[in-house]
Order: sequence, then structure tokens, then C-alpha cells
Amino acid sequence: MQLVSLARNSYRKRQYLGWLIHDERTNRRPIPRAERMRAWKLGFLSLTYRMCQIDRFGPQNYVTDRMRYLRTPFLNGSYAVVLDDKLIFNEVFRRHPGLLPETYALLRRDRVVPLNSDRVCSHDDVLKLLERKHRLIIKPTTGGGGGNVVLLEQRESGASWNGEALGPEQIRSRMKENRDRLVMEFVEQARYAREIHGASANTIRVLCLWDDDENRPFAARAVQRFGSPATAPVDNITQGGLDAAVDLETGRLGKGARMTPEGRPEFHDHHPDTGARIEGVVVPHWRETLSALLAVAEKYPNLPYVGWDVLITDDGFRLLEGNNMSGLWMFQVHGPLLADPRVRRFYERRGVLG
Amino acid sequence: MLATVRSIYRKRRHYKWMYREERKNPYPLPLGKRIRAWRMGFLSGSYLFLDLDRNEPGDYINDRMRFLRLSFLNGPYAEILHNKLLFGEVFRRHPDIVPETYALVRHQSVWPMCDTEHVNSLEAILELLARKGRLVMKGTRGFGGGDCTILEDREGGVAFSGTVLSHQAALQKLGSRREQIVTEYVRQAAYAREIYSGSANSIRMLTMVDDETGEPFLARAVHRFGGGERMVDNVTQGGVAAIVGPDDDRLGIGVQIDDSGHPQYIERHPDTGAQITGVTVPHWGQVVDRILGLAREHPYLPYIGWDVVVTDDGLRILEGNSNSGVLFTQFHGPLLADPRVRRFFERRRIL
Repeated sequence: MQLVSLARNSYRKRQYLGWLIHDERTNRRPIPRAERMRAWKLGFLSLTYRMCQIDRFGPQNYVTDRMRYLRTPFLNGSYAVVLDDKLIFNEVFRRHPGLLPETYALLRRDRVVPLNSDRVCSHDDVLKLLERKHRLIIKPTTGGGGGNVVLLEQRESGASWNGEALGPEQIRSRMKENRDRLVMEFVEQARYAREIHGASANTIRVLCLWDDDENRPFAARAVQRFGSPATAPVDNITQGGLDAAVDLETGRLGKGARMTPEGRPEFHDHHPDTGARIEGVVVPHWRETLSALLAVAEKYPNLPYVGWDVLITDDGFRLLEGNNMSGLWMFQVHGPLLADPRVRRFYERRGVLG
Repeated sequence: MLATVRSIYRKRRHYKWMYREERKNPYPLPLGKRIRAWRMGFLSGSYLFLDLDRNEPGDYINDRMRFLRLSFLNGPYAEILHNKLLFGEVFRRHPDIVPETYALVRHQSVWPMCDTEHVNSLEAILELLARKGRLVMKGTRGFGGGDCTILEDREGGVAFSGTVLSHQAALQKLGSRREQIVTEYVRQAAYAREIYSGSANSIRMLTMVDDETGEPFLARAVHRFGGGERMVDNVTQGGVAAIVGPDDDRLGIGVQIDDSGHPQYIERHPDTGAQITGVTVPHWGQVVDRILGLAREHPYLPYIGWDVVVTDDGLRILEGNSNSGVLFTQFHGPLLADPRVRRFFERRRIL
């Protein structure tokens, strides 16, 4: 039995180690080998090493990539599947009214499986739904980083797939691709976010950890991400987006950090593509959003470690997804996570540090 | 590559289950017949239970299919059925359908899981038990009722499935087990209590999707009753199985496995003497409609074995099974005799 569990653990670790290596290899920025070696020895990917300026601030208070890839994925145990699979996520959290965007259907190759009372049962039904709703989101049930998320739009000239005008037959054939994907409601974000960068869904990632002493969750850090023309319709920051720290008390945004072509951080008080101000902008109804999010998280003690993706709307917020193995450099570019004793205690008690 | 490794790993695990089941078989069967059973894909116990000396094996779902293929029918979403906490989380949005889950217990820690009862310690579980009288504690994983304990508040202590422990010993036992959930105890309807009150007598309702219409249908419903002093209704361990519906709300003939492993057809419960055959299951039509409605609302799970307890005013679903044991559902006849069932399995390459 122990042997089987050891084999299972090794298999899983091998998978995460594979991702770690993959992510290092995809960092094509010109980084000297010696610097890469220094980063690896300390447990960081070269990307994190540069973005978090470890050479300048020292590694002591940072959660390393080795910890992130090899230890944090196990913090939620077998319940990680709730966060890893967006259909299961939707099924678990839809009991909270108004929390999630509506999910209409699951696309499984040739089949369309209806998931709500709209009874979207075929690819034609999806196109009819698009005519009524004008915009829909199609996203894979697994995978992160906003990859493969599609904005389906109904324009006067016809439908478009991530901005590319396509005929109904082409859209039908794209919907039949191999991966399981969800057809979801498009959520209109609040005005402040549209004004800063309207072409992408600009989400806030809130890292929630479970406080064992208080027996309830707390927000360790929150960052607002903004997309750029290169990342639309999502806000992926490794592809040119920005992220700004959100003051947990007030909801006030700090400077937006963007990755330079060399992989170093560059801090902006205005969005470099639109010129809109970022620093000092206050996220609307932030306190209500954070307390509602923590109230939801409190109902799931089996998920002690979640990076929630929240989209602020004009009248509230929507929870887009939860991440089991949240990226951490987006938080740590604004300062190390372990400087907060509560955060350090969480990672220490659960065996992530050391 | 990864998918192949994963598939081999899973198959190995299922072969292991199959091997373990075969080794557990207590019934005598000559080696020649055992080999015949294995060649046909059956465990020797199933060979006896289904009386395959006389019945045509081709119409039955065999154990090889069950262990190696059925668990893949629901794809990655099977996890919703494998984990009982997750099952409750997903299905609790349907009102009055799953028993309330009060708390999650793991390594002496207790987390409240319910909005109305804040159970956050082992002591709080016992306080709740004192108020409710009975609770159920079950492992978040596992099947066959093996990891299910009925907690009862009794004078001078707490009964764990009938064994009375002192308050202190109960606290110790509650915290010493693997991950468990504490749920509401469901009081079954009078008809079931009268037949056998020592166990929660559930109905296994097997739903599948008809590929022609896209609609779910009820492939088989079998009412199980406990027996032999056990608090679960496991048919291979002294219990009785009786077919019900889908159009008739009365229980059919009961089947019990005798000491030699052969099926015995009975009309009365062997322990209590209560009549089984012909007894009406209350509001059966509504139960079927509700279960089919749920299957329709969760179409990404095309194959579910629901464990349903009929109560005086409705029903409760104790759990859903992705790898539903099809053995006892075939005591009353082979599943593949129904063309819709055969088509379902054929299209998914189970046969």
C-alpha cells in the first residue's frame, strides 16, 4: 500500500516537475546561463528570479518555484479537482446565487451537453444563443493561464471567433475540437476596468489561505491584472499584461508591473497602451467583494489554498475560477509573501517551507 | 504518453480490486467452473449468484467490464461520485434531496460544513448527536457501506453501529479515523422499517442516457434490505434484493444468497418474516421522476447508480456510484436484455 502511494506521489511530482522544466524552457528571454544557474540553485525559475528581483532583495521571504510546483499543488488534497476542472468548479459553486457566470453547455467533440435550463443541446443551439446574447465565452474545462479562452461575438457582419470573422460552418467545426470546453456567459466588467483596458477581461486574483488558529480563511494578497492588445481577450501578464497590487483594506491600486522583453519588472502608474491611470484608482465595492469572497471560501475548509479570479462588475462581482496552484510571482513582484507572519505560518504548518 | 501511464495505473488498480474480490469469495466452486467463470469475465461469486450454469452469460454485464471499463464512463467527472463530500456539495443545490452534511473530520480537526449547525469540534459532534439522537459518519471515499457508521446517543455513552462507548472513548474514536463526514440520519419510510429496521434499506436506481433521444432512463431499480444483524443493506452479506418498477410501484420477488452462494427466491424477509413481494413503495412515481430529473440536470454523468432511501414524505439520495456494482441489479435478469442498455454500453465500447 505504501509502495502504491509512493508511486502515485512520484508520478504526480514527476508531472509537476515536468511543468517546472517546461516553464523554464519556454522562457526564451536572453538570460545569462550563470544567472539561470543562480536562480535554479535558489529554487526559482529564471523568470521569477528576474521579475521579483531576487538578486536585489534576497530570497529569504519569497515562496520559491520549487515549493510552488512540488508542494503547493498538494495543499488541497483530493479536492484540487474542484479547482482544476472548471465544470466541477461550476457544479460545486453554482449553489451560491449570482456568484458565477452562467454556464450553458459542455462541448465534447460532436456532442453538446446542456448544463442549465436554456437547454443548449447542439452546435446550432450555441449559435442561436449567440444571436440572443451577442457575446459568449468558450473555455477549456482544464488548463490555466487564460490559454485557449475564446470570445465568441455576434457582429452585424456575422459571428467572430476571438475577433476573426468566421462563417457558421467554420465556427461549428471549431467547436468540435478535441478538448472538453464550456460555453459560458460573457460578463461585462465594471467601468473602471473598461476604461483602463476594455479589450480584455481584467480580473483580480485573490490569494486566500486558511488560518488554522482562527479556523477561517484570510486574503493574503490581491492583484488586479490588466490585459494589453497582445493578450486580449484575457489578461495574461506573461504575454504583455500588467498587474497592480490591490490594497486589501481600501481597494486602492498600486503601480502596474509589466514584464520587459528582458524579463525584468517595469512599474507604470498609467497603462502603457491606453494611457489610462492605474495607480490610485479604487476598485469599486472592494470591501463588500472581499468579505463576500471570504464568506464563500469559509464554506470550503477542504480548499485551504485557493487563488480566486474575480471580475468586478458595475453592481458587484463574479467569480470566474479558482486556482489550485496559483502563480505566485504576480503577487511577489510587489513584495515577498513570507514577510507576512500569517502567510509564513500557513506554509510552514503545511510543510511547504523547509 | 502520460495518458497511457495513467490508464495503465488505473487498470492495475481495478485488476487489484477484482483479484481481491475473487480472493474474498467464501463459496465453494470447483476449479473447472472457476476457470470457466474467469474465461467468461466473471468472478466465481458472480457465477454462482447469477446461476450461470443455467443462464446465458452473454446478456449479463460481467465483472471484467465492471471493474475495468465502467469506471471510465463518466470520464473526469466521476470524481463527483467517488467523493461523498463532493457529491453532497454538487447536489445540495437541489432542495431536500441529499442528507445535510454537518462537518468534515480529518486528523482530530473538525470543520463545519453546514449553514444552520456550526459543528467545529469533536465535542460539538457529540452535542449535535445528543440533540438529533442519531447521526451518520462515513468515509469520504469507499463504497459498499463498509465505511459507514451509525452514531446513536444512548444513556451512558455513544453507540457506534451498535457498540456502546463511553463519552471519552467516543471522542477518541471520532478523531482517530480517516477523513470522514458527519451527516444527517435519514429516517426511512414505514414500509421499509416494517420489513427490516436494522439498516437503511436503500434502492439502487441505475440511470443511463438513451443515445437515441438524449434523455436519461431508468435501467433497473433494486430495493435492498439488510439482514443477518448487519446495519448495512449489502446483499452479498445476508441482505435481500427485490426488484421494483419502473412502471409498477410494488416490490417483486426477493433474492437472497444462501450459504452455498446460490440465489434463493423469497417473498418474505428471512429474519423478520415481513412480507416483501407485493409491498407498495410510497410515491414511487415521484421518486422515479425526481431521479430522472436529476440525471437530466447532470448529463455529463451518463451512468449513475443512485442509492435512494424513500422517506415518509419524499426521498433522500445517500450517494451516487460511478462504478455501480451491477451484480445484484442483475439477480432478477440480465441488464443487456434491454436494447437501450445494450446500445448504451455498445456505443461506449464496454461490450
